[in-house]
Amino acid sequence: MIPFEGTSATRWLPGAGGAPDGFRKRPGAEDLARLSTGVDDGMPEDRALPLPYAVHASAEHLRRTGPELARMPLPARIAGIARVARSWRDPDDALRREAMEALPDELGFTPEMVAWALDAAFDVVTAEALHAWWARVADATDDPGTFGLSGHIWAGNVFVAGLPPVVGSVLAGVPALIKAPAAYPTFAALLARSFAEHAPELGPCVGAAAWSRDDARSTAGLLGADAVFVFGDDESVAAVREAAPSRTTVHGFGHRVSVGLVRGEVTDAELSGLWEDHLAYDGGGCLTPKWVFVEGSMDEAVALAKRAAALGPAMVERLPARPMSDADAAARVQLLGIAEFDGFGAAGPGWCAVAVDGVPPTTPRTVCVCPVDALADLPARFGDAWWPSLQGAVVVGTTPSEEAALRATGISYIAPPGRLQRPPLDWDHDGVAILEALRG
Amino acid sequence: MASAPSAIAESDALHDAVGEAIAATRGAGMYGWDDGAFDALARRLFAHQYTHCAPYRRFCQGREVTPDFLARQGHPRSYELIPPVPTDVFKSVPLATFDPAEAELEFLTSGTTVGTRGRHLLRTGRTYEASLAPWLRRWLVPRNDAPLVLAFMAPFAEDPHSSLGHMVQWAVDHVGADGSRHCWDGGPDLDAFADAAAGADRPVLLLGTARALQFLLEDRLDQQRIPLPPGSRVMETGGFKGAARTLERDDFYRRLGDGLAVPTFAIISEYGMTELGSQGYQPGFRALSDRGLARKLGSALVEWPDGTVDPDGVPRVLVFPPWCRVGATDPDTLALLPPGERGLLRFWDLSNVDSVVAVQTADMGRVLPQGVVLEGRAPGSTPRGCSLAIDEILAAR
Repeated sequence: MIPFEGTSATRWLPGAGGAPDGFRKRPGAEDLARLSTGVDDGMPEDRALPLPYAVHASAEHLRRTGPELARMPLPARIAGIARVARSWRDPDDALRREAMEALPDELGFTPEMVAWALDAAFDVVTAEALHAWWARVADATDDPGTFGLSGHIWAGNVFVAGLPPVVGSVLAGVPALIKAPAAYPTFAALLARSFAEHAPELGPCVGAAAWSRDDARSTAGLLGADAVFVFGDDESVAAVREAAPSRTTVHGFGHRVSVGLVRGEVTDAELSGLWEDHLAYDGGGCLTPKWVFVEGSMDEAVALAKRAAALGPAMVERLPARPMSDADAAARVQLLGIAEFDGFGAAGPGWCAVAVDGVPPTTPRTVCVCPVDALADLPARFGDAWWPSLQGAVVVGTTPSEEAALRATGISYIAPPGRLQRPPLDWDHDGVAILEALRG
Repeated sequence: MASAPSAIAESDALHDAVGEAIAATRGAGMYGWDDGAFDALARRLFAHQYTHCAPYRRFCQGREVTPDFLARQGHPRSYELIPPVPTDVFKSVPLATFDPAEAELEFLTSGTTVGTRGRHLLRTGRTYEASLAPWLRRWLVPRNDAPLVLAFMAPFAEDPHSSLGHMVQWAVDHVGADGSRHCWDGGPDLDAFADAAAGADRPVLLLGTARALQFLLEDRLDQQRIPLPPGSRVMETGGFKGAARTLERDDFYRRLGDGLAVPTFAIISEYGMTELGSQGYQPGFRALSDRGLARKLGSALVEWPDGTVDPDGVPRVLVFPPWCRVGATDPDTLALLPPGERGLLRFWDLSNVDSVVAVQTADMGRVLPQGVVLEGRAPGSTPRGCSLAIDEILAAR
């Protein structure tokens, strides 16, 4: 298509010389002609609007058009979002194809991994799930809240991690403006574009651009939003909290790790699911279970690790990886050695399975099985100061009381194998009730 | 529990055998020893270690490699099948064929703030010294000219767990002329060094970590030269791993050479690690003065011209002694790679008599018949190295 002003392959900023006010349908030649002269609000008449201006302009534009989105009937918003999600699940969709061309190199993942991540992220975005989410939160009333704009600061190459708050925002009738990491600009821009192309009736509801965290002027344009959702390390989240105006509510999602807890028999299907949880995003996600604690002796840990090793090559065929970095390779050879002294270690291209004592540093794409006397003891151990903050737990054979104890440690998502990396839309990520947070 | 007499006797015999091998290969270059002879001795060492080090035996059994299995291979490089122990394992497992309480030397890896320190236990230091002596002399004291040895390093008595400290102490005691000394007072003693250098009536051999030499450079030489007598040389080791500030190597050597009035080819890079009894050296001036060596190294440069030559023509490779072999392993499969291919370095060091002969490192490099092109520690792996200790001392000042 003809590029909009204010847009490029890595930027989609309605209102910054982009989509005009009230834009409700798929753009035609007439719309595009309007856009070519459509720089408003006294911004420089420059096709390549400097980013800080463009972000500010787009934020204002989205805020201005937001009420129209909010007034739209809930079923219409849900239908539009569901249509966008369906387009992302469609391998023949032009934007998905564009994503599949750009994202593997940009993110450092194999095409299979990118495709898996897109499917996993959008599989849960269905009309039914959106209705259920809204019903849970809004007591079946269609009234939107009072917020006019949400900001979203994404981080890292787990590129779909920030999707639920964006979807929630549109669902709540609040336009969303996304800041993607400078190194990973494409998905956010394509996502914003997919709303414009597949749900034009929603109007300008999502904007996106990428810039460095050092570009404070551009970030300032986004921090004027009513609610800002920040992904990144704890330092970045703190910096955003400090920079945001007092009226802006900041919801931070810092770096977390996840774990596995296993008691008793693990079926082959569960083991496949466990592998999928480990291999997703090349083992670099906050929901990647870094350690799988098995109740019992080292012999039981070794038995599980051996079964995982036997399955490793087949799983890697489904979710292949790019060659390891030198650092990962060096770390893996050390972990394998330690594991072989402790219990068991085996590895192949793109996978590793070990059984070890203690809680060693692990490597990507590694099922690291650690024996513990009693799973029930773990929540208390997770309180130790050296433990990183926990986000999710994949569980087999745990009791409801154990899961409650895990939640009490701050773990906000507990799932069976194969579901940990596919959290539902209404997951209260790190305890943040996203939809409530968007309703003002 | 005390070591079994039979194990001690076996160990003594192996120390004798390795000592004889070292003596017999004096003058030979890297891989300058017959494959079969190396393999036979490596297998004897492996059998000893397998038999008397229970954790290592279990490790090998897990890989289904036994002394008998090696013997059945019937080829002169069966030692390549000896299960290598990753260096991190030295942190948690006592890798010794004897009661650790009987260790004559206990070397610990550097660093007090980064994780647990790795431990290399030596029942006796005799093979360690027999190994370091000829190789150090070969690359640093080619004419056996008894230089004045000055060291930026604590005396071994003050830091008895430093393998580098032990080596340097040996050089001060056995290589240096009268007046050789450690220039150290809780850190590099630059005044002591300057005084000793000013009074030197013979070539100086200065030994120090890269970080100590950086301190000398930035704290003294950049303002005031300390010219060393003609024929002097410098041994630099440890690199800048984990250091707060690093210098680009060519610039570092040039400025150091200018400040000390030594040609850059007389600055010799040494590679050693606590877990290995043997060391590697960059050929330095030997590569320029020894025509045979230059020819041999020159053929390597044809294969790997990029970044393998210093500005003054010295090949940037590390040469290991005939009793220590090196291989590169595929990072993904851990299979040994053909010569010249880039991978994680693995060593088979016959001077490791009572620990483990095969050691897997986290260092990346390429192994050529003529030497090893070291590409450094894989970024992100545990920072380690002797320069770390000096970094901490300097930071604390």
